[in-house]
Amino acid sequence: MKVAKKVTTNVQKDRWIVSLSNGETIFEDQLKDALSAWRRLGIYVKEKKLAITNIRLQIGGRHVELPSHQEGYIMKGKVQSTGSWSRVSVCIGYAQGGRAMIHEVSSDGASHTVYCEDPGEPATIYRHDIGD
Amino acid sequence: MATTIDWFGGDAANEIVPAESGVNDTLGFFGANFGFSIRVGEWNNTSFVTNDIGTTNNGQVPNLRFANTSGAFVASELTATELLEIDNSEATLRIRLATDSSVGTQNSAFRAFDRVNINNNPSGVTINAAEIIKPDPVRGSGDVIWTTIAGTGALSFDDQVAASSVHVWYVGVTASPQSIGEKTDLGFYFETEFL
Repeated sequence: MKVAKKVTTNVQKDRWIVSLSNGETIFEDQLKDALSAWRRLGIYVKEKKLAITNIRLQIGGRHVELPSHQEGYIMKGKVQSTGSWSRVSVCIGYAQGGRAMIHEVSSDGASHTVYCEDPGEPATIYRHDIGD
Repeated sequence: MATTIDWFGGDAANEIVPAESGVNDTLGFFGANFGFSIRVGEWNNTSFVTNDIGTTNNGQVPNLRFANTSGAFVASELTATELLEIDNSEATLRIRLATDSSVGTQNSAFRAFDRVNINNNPSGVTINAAEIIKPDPVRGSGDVIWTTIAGTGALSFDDQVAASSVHVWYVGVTASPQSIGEKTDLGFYFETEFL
């Protein structure tokens, strides 16, 4: 599964950056008509029996960093719209024991945190370095 | 990820364009034609893209008028049609999400609110909505019955799990005033998650 191991022209300024248990660093990239970078990362982690050890989000000049070595890490997009007004947010979080903490961060600076059930795969990428 | 969302009438003829353009910005419901009122307890005969106080005609969208819990009068038809038999192009709204990458969607919902807070109910009007899924002549697979929506009651859409760079939702919307007078404390809100 193709993932971006360095910054290329497909890697934007607003992006997530992930550290893996094998020492690799993966960047969010955008490949036209391919699966989203997070879905590709989920497949890659499962195939290689790895774990995400650290993740951070860069968006709108801000940085969000999550606690390291969690059971699972969560990423998804969210759109809110009234037709005349729209907002696109990135939801980044982590899961432990079936529960999740998710930060919703938009490029216009708005953010808030929700505590909820672990949304599960594919939004959550679990660790695969200790057996399935 | 570059992500855009747009709202059109179900037939894609007229768009509710973003507010920053300074023109069309909401969906309005009327009686016999634009600017005509709907009698108390009755339902819309026409639907338009209009400004937030309903004074500008920015183009008509397909009209669905509530007939019964599982049916609607499509356009000017006098015989009710089952919601499952309504074509996508006959829906009031078409909401489209476009992304660079191929994504699936989940937790998609649509609600009506007072244009102040998405958790507030619209004022003085009953809004029913239904998801329309009938892209071809076969019987549809959308909602069987109308759902009354408000700030505190949303219509949930089916997840669209197949990865694609374009996702579209068709929505039937019908409105009935609860009292005499213009009802301008009414807006619509859509949200979805994608990955």
